[in-house]
Amino acid sequence: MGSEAGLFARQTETATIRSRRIFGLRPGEFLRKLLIEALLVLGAVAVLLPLVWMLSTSLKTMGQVGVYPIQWMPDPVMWSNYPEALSTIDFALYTWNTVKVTFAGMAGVLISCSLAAYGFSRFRAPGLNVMFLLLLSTIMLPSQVTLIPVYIMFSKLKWVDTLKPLIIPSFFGNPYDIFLLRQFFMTIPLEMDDAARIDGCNPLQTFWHVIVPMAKPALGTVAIFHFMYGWNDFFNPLIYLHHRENWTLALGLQGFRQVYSTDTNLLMAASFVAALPCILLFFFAQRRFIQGVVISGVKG
Amino acid sequence: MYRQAGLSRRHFIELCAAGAGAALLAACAPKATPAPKEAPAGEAAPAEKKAEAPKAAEGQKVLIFVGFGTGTSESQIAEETALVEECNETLADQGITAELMVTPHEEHLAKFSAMLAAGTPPDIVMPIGVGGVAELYDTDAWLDLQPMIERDQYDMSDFYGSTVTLHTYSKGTLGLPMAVYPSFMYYNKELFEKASVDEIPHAWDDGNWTFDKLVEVGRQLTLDSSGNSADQTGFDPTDIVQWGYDESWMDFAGLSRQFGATSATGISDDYKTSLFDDPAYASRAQWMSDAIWKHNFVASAEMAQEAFSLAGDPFSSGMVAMWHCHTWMMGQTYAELTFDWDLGAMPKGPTGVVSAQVDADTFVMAAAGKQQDAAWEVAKWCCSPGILERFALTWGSVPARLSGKEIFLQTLKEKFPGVDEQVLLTAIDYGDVPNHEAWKPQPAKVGDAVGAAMDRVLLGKERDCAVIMQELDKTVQGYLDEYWAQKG
Amino acid sequence: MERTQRFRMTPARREALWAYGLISPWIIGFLIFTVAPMVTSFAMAFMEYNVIQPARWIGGANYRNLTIDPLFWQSVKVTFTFAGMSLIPSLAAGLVLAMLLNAEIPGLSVWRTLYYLPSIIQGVPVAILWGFVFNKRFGVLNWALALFGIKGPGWLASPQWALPALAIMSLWGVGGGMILYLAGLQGVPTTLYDAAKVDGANGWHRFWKVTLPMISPVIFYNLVMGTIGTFQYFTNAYVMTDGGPDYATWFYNLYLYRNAFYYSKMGYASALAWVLFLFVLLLTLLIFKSSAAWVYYEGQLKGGRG
Repeated sequence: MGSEAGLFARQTETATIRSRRIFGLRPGEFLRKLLIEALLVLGAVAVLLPLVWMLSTSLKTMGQVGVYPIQWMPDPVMWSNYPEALSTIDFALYTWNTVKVTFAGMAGVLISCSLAAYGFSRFRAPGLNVMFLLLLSTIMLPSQVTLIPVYIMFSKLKWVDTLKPLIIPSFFGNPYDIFLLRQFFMTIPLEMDDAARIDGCNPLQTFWHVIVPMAKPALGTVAIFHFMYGWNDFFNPLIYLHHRENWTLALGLQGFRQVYSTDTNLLMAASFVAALPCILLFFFAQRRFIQGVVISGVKG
Repeated sequence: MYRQAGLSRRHFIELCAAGAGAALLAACAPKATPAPKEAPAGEAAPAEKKAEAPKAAEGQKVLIFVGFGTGTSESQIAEETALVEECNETLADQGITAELMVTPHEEHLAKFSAMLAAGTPPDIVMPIGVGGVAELYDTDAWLDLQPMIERDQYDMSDFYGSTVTLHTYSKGTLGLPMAVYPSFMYYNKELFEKASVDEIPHAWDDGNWTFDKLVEVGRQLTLDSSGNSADQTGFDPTDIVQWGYDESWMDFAGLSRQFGATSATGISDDYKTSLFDDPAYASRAQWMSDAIWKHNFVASAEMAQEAFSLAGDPFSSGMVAMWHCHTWMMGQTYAELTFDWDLGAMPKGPTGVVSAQVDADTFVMAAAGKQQDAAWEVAKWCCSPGILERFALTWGSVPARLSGKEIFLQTLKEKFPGVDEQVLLTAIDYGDVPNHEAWKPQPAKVGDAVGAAMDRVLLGKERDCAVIMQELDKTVQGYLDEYWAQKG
Repeated sequence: MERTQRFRMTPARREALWAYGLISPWIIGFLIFTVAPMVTSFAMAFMEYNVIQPARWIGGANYRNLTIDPLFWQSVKVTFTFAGMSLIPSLAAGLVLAMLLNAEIPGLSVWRTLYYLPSIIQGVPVAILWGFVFNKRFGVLNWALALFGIKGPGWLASPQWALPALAIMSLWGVGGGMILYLAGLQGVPTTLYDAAKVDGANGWHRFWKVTLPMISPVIFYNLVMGTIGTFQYFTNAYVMTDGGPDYATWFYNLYLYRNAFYYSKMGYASALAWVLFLFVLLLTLLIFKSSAAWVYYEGQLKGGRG
């Protein structure tokens, strides 16, 4: 770690010039952070512009949507679009179905994928590497071709037109999250595992007391990713859910499209409401999980 | 750093089990028997009758798949659901219950194929157009209804003659006519008035109304932002705010009939030869191309995307004076148009032909369906006089029953006062039989190729349409040859 | 003397049992939900199957046909072009963004949410939204370009600009990769940075010698996932352009989907799927092989995977 000594000619600052400090920072430091903030603002504007358009459109009448030059402020502001959109499709029912699918899926994924990733990252066993390659290869096959055989299987189980095909598979792990967690687990130093083992922990205890606390950012990420996936998944609900009583939100949003036209303003309003849970979840979850525990060198 | 609690492992496993159990419970919670949520407007059936309807589990359940054509918007679903409820009341004594299953149109094939592959096909598909039938025609997915028609001596005389043949194929009669969508010319009366141009004729046999006249009128009605029309000097073709004519939603091969093409599909009757090398197709494409790039009264692909994508269709944007299209919009959308409009006839082509392609919707039954007799009863009910008209009106079409004409005319008069509905009805006589959507080998691939050719015309990459048609002819012939090679 | 006929539980065997026990749910799911369908689809590739009628064996005809199929080659061209345009920029953008956010600036959670916001709203409504963003006249993109005096092209309506449009759209989801990079960056112990500073390393060297190696597992993940995802690109092309205009956005997966469900050629679609699968597998193996040289795992087992 200290092996780079001698390679650098530049000296670290030894003579600190007692210059003015701006916001408690040295000028160079302040400038740097200001520059970064400026870049971030620019980037954020670019990234958020389509979303702003989406919000603006959701409050317009259809006649106003395509006006050129772009009118960012709707006039009149159609607050009524929101209740109208929410009542056009059975929003509450679809949301409830989606909640069931998403939360159950999250539980399934967290349990099965963390255990599997633990197995892949912390153990040696014959054939384990081959297993891991097989795991990855499953991501590479386009889902369209496994669609029909899987559908037939679920159909024989009589699970079609229920939420089961959307939930049960997550309890068997999914390659994306196993891969992700395995990568993160492998950044956790082995010494901690060894310490736990010496103290008499079996592998599951090691998992619970060592790995899980240190991998909280990764686990939180996986939970959030799966939430997003389950919340927005369109194709699987399309294929497996027949009756509209069972539809999820992503599927239900199609109700704003007709064969020849789309109620764009209502669709944008409904999409925004549909995305709200994800947005809120993310904002609050990141404080708890991803706002990571920066390991400041205290190891054991 | 960590606790070594003796029970920690058990706790962990218990926690996981509890979480998993709760989740599974949520997933497997029994659902109430599906009851339609949408309260149908004007539902006549009294509440008591519903309690007597047989439970779904006892009787025969007929599944109606909606998604091959129109019928998937929320308002249409509400009306269709109401109709299905009435059907269930009527057929309750036979123990038959019909159920609606709606799929977004874009994905209908994926869903239908999956269900069919699993051996659980829907019993009826409704509405489905000629094109929809063609999508799976070659797989023998649809049931020949002729035996049942003859067995029940079903009266076919009340249907428009041409519509019956549209659903009759070499594999049999696959559907009963339900809805017809003739095409004609919509025109924006206000734009005509503002430009002081005479309105186009409503009579379909007006000899003076030709495609050349259409060019003339179209140019007069195309304006740039300074108010110049396309036939005036100083007209800026890069800055058009109003176009005289549009036909971008029409099928190209169908349109070519107007210029004397013999086949509305572009394929020969024996399905072995591509006819796109026939000069009629090239000249029709050239007319389209010149209309955009030479005479400047039709919007190119880029202009159309800019101007029309939000309105949903070119005509309702209010920026197109004349629009050749089907009745599709008159089901829902056009009731809300903000300008005065009317219907006119299509012009006569250079070979003297007046042609306006039609679409036709029907129902089909899955050949692999498990309860064909029950499905047939449901289908017959849907096609019965008085009921068929209601379906047809929901879908924005003319009911295929001659006896339904009165109801249709009345509804039209109420919904669109001031519109000449006679144009619409006469248009049916100028329709294309065999239909432009009729089956041809590899219908989707050929359709893609024709679409790409149209893209090239509308994008203006190639202005010589004879070249475009030659390439199209070669491509399509290749697909036909490929198909027959596989068969042989 | 006891006859030890019992299975001897050596430490190595115990470890192996634990490993397989932990991954057993995945193995079961793998066998049911993946292997069986994969085997079926592999067999389907040698058949002519329209999903409705029974399949017919035709040997390698599907594979032969795709070599001479112009639509196949068009889809390959489109997909590779897109990969070139979007993969590396997306990866780099995510990392740069994460590094900026990691610089101890105020309002971190707000920034993180703002940048991740686009990735939260997914699916068909997003595709529709972007269809309007790309509109030549009233779209947001051309409006922004006009602020700089640039007259934007027709984007999705233009054969030259449709693919770049989709590439730009893929950059919008930069927040997804950023999140992962951030999580990785925050796992880098500050002691390393301190030690490096003491040794006289400047910012660039710290980045190159400390940051990059420590987050290389995350980079590896994003690279593999990004590669696989790019070659499977489907939804946006499907909703926004449906392969057009004039086959300009004729993506491989889109062509596959059309074959499976519109052309009723499930056998041919399966062959296409397996070609894609083998190609991506090869590419991923290459990335894996190379990873030994540049991916560093703090918690790597001796003799384990690298």
